[in-house]
Amino acid sequence: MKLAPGTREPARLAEPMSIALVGNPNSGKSTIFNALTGLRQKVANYPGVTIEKKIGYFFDLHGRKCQLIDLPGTYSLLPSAPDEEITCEVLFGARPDTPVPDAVICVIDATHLERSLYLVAQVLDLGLPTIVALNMMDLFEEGGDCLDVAALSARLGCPVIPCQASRRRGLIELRTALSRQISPSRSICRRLPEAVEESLSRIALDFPEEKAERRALCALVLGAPDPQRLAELLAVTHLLPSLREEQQRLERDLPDWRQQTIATRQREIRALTAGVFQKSPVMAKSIADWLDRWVTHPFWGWLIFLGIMGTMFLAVFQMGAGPKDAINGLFVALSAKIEKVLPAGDLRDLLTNGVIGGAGNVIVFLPQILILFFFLGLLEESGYMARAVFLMDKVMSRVGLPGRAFIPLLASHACAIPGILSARTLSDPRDRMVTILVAPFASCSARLPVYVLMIAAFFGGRRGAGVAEAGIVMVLYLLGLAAAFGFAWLFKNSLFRSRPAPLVLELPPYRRPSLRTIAAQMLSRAGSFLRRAGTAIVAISVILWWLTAYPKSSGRDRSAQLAGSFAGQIGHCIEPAIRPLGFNWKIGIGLISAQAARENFVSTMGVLYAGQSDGEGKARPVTLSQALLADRWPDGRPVFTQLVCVTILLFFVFSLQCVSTVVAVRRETGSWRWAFFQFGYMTLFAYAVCLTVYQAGRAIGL
Amino acid sequence: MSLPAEQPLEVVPQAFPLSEASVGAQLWIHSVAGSPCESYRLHEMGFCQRAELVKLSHGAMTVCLVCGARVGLSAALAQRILVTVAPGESRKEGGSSEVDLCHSSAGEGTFFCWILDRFRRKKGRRSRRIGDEARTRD
Repeated sequence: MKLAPGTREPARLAEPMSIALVGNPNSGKSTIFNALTGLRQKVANYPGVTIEKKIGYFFDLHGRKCQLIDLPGTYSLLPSAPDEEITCEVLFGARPDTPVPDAVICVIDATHLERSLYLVAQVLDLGLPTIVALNMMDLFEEGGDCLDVAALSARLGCPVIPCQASRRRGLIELRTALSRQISPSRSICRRLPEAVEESLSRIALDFPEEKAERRALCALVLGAPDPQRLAELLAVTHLLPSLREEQQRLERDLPDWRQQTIATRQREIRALTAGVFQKSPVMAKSIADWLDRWVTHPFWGWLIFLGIMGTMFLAVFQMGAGPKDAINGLFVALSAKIEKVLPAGDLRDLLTNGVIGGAGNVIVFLPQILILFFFLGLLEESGYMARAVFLMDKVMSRVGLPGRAFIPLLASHACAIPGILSARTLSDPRDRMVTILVAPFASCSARLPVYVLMIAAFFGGRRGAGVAEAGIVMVLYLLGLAAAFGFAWLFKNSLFRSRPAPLVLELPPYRRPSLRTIAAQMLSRAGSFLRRAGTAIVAISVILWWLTAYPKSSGRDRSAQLAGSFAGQIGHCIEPAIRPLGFNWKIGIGLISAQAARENFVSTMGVLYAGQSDGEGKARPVTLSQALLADRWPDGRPVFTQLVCVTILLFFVFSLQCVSTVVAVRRETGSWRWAFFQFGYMTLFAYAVCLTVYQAGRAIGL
Repeated sequence: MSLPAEQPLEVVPQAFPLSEASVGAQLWIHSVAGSPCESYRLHEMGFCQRAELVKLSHGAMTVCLVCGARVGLSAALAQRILVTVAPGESRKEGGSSEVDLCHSSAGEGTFFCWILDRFRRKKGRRSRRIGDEARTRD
């Protein structure tokens, strides 16, 4: 770990220079990070996208390697949530895995100059060499505001670089500034209420040696409403007794000392910008006001939200069906070609039934998944997400969660893992725990292939009306959200009682979505989906094929071979447990393989039903849904009735079938207990719902 | 933005919740009610004593411009932020300034929203009156 500024040694040439990117949420830190390093970290137009520190490398103008650390956004160095703690720890050198940065780039949204300078002032207090990157200068100029950049730089005592990271403007200047020797920063806000100043001096005596960041650290911990947590985080627990004593003294002498301290600092910041920054006097009503009014309206807002969701699912089915059929056709042709080229035997069966029947049946859903991500990207980029949070705030507060918890739930619609990680933005640990426990109810993209397959089976293997298909998927998504809200209410009223924090959220400007950003994210998603299909799903398909192909039985048809195989034996063992849900042993095997990842259900069905003839007994290539519909119970009844299709859909809506999610929950909660609890309660709930629906359906003759 | 003049808070006109301010009004923040934990972040985001604030809209969320940033607040939080009228601005009578639908961005909403606003304000006034009466009796 490096020493404090002033005593700090200059970075040796052999070691990369470490630079931290700090700034308010949604100020464009990750965009600058991507632009400098060439990496593709997720960026979006709402606060709280980056929740972990990310590291990338670039070279300055002297060819020196620099390590860039992208940190979660924060409004202050006093952390109020776990993601902000990371930023605080890195800047104070309290993280064992990250050295104290050699320099800091403070990214500020130029349109929010005054508010952003509060954090800049705290960073400057640390005495680290600092550069201020004034991002979003295009929006600033559009607004008609004026800023004397040189004067601001002189007053801050550090380089100020105007830039527009999304268009890569100002990046050369930023690299140039980083290539120069930057002197350690100096404090710009030194005034404090007198009583606070005295308390600080007394606490500072507890430090063993002179350190530049001493005052900043003391001021930060002294102001903290929970000094214990912060002192532990920054490894200054020895200060706690004197901190508590001084806090009590201040409460007695100056009851609103915290507010006064912040107000003094902000007054100094306003004084600093006076004469440098000229805000446009025109306060015209903007289109954003008008849009906000409609999208957060208690009636029209919901209608717009449901309309957007409906359009998204309609597009998934209408626009995705053609490419899906085309890819399916390619796999059918490839399978036919292999059957022609290779002689009958295990290798041919492995390739056609195992690999193509398994992984191929999952890959066909790629276009539909990409369309889903395209729409999610549009929502994230446009600025709608923050408004949706306000729309949901009322519902969320009814169940006891803060409105902000809707962001993790929304993020979980892409994948539960980023959703669970983004619960770090919640300040109350109880809210965070409840959000983590219910986030997997939000239907992730891995469920989509199962939904599409089962809906196709529901409509008898024919193409149903697009609107009806989209409507069913939308109902499934809403059911997932309803379950999440229901269980959140239950947990908040039993295990994790607390009052929800009132919602305050910075509203990002509405922006025309950047198609390049969305395309990059879709490409990244497609890559990870194909990697998963090409590795884990192929591996599981091959194992499953082996389980269905052995032990060999001569002279028996395929269904007898399947029933006698290892897979068949396992399936028949679990059948009594799933029979009450209307599931046969093959569905049971699908559910077991889906525990690894939900898409495996489709690949398993693909392997188990590969080479199946259609309902008329003709051995021509059939789609997977047609193969499912041809399956019969021993008494001749069809297995995949509409009721069974609905039951399977409900099981997938409510159950937790993803090992990666279980591992992520263990990491975030720090305990396997909660991870297994979540797995257990979701699986039991899914079972209970399916049992009720199936038995009730049977009772009324469905 | 000009630095507000230093004057004791006692002589500042009466404070009222942000939720009751008119849309478009320029205001000063008087105080934020609540525990230090809850208020601290709000203060750091610019909601501190004497900071200037412009209320942009209200409805399901209250949008205001503070320190140059558009910040959305839930209805419950807007009740907890007490503001005073900035010098030069006059507050409409009755403390609960009605939103002028013809001249404010609230007017860009719908008739339904207008009725809802009226209902909320009446409800708020009634509960305050009941509270006042109870205090008087005590």
